[in-house]
Amino acid sequence: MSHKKVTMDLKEQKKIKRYFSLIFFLLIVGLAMWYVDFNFIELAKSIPVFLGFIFTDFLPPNFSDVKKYVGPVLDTIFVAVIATCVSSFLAMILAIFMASNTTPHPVFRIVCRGIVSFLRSIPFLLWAALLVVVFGVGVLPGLLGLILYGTAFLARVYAESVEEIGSECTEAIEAVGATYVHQLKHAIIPQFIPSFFSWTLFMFEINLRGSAILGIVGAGGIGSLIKGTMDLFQYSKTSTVIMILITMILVVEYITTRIRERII
Amino acid sequence: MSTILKIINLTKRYNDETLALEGINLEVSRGEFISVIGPSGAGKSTLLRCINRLIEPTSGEVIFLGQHVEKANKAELRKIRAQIGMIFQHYNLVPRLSVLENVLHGRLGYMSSIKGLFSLYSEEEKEEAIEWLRKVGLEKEIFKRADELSGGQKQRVGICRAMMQKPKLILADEPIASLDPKSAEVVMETIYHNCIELGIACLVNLHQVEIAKKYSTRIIGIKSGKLVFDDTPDKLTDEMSRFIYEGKESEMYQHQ
Ligand SMILES: Nc1ncnc2c1ncn2[C@@H]1O[C@H](COP(=O)(O)OP(=O)(O)OP(=O)(O)O)[C@@H](O)[C@H]1O
Ligand SMILES: [Mg+2]
Repeated sequence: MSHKKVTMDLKEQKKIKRYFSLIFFLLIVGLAMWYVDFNFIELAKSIPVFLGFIFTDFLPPNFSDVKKYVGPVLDTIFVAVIATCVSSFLAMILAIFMASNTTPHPVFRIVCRGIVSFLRSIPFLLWAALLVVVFGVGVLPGLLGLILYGTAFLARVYAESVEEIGSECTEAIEAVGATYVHQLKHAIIPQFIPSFFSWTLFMFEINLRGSAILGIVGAGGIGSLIKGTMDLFQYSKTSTVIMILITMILVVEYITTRIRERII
Repeated sequence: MSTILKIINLTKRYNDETLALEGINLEVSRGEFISVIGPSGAGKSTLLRCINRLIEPTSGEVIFLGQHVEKANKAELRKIRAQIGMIFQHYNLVPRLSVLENVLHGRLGYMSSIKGLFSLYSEEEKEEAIEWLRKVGLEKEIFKRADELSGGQKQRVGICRAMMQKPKLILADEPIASLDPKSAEVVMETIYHNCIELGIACLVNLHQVEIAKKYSTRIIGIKSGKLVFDDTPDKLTDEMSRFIYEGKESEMYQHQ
């Protein structure tokens, strides 16, 4: 067979593979829609009902209890701040053990990867719900839930960033007779800083949203206000809380974007 | 002349297959400036890296100042490495740190983990680093970030870092291969004159035979992992060069 013929065949094969993948994908989507009874017509029909609900029940917002919201709003923000700080610290240590170029021993790498995969596989809301059973209703179980999930998430992305640092700088530091600690301090950390800030700020944004819905499982913060007002059918108050939440998220996003621009 | 480095029957095998070095014997004395030439893949980088054990030799002996490098434990190896400067083709600076910090890294081999962790360099060390930077013409770049420099400037920072170690031996792995001819000359001059002046023995991997002839007190030729030439530059005939680069003659002149 000539060289040209082989490449032609390969191209043809790729094409067929692509068609099969597409058909397979469409089949899966179709099956899923049928299984959960998803229906575009019903979705379209429900839009007016939804809009009616928003305009008659949610609006206009009722600001009468605003003062009572201050505490839970602060809880939400502080939980996000603490969760981000603690998990970035723990994740940093895990990441250094996990990354192939900084691990003290391959055994550390395997053990830490196992722990992180396990923690990551459980959503933070589930962690919080389980921990509420242990610690009772309040801020603590939510905080711990965010820390557990956040640590695992950050450890993985940090480790990937550390692995992307070229061997060139560490090699030079090693060649002058430096210790392992020196290599971390003088080659890995300086090169890792931009990704560290970028991922940690991203985590903070995620934690803020997470922290805001923790109340739904009884773990305090804005979520408990949303759940409380909705349970009493006080939807005009719910809309006030949601407006506060949206404002808070937008302000934080603006600030983190500015910090990113500064640092990187 | 006192012996700095002695290599006996050094062999390096990668993945039980590639025989990168085969029975290398070599003795380096104080003040020698030795160019190592040979085509791509001959084993030049492997040879240099086996000396300070950035690569573990498979068998053979490496004796640096009377001490067996291949048998050294972690602490001993640190002490040995501290006295061997290394200069790299890609400079290997830490890009986000300042020029001064990169030069001070040369002292880490002499510092404890704790001291190094908190960058507790002495005043004399800092002054010396600045003095070296001045000497290579980088006094204006001291506080710049390393990634802001040109290639030639980066390599001069690399030289300063090596010099800060107060080394007895310098290993330079193709220090000018990524530079334009003008910067390459400045860098070669800087390495050569400082080594000669301070009596530092130097092993330089080079691609270009012309440059090797210009700067060396001795030339070593490596071909497929074997040492095939070891003599003064005037003994390196065109015939010999052609033999070393057999099949890859174009590399002799090429600027890689
Ligand atoms: N890490 C490695 N794993 C496996 N084989 C390697 C490794 N490093 C080098 N080799 C092989 O060892 C041989 C010698 O390589 P080396 O890098 O020492 O050559 P070199 O003379 O420095 O070449 P160049 O001029 O291209 O830098 C080559 O055949 C190369 O493919
Ligand atoms: Mg090489």
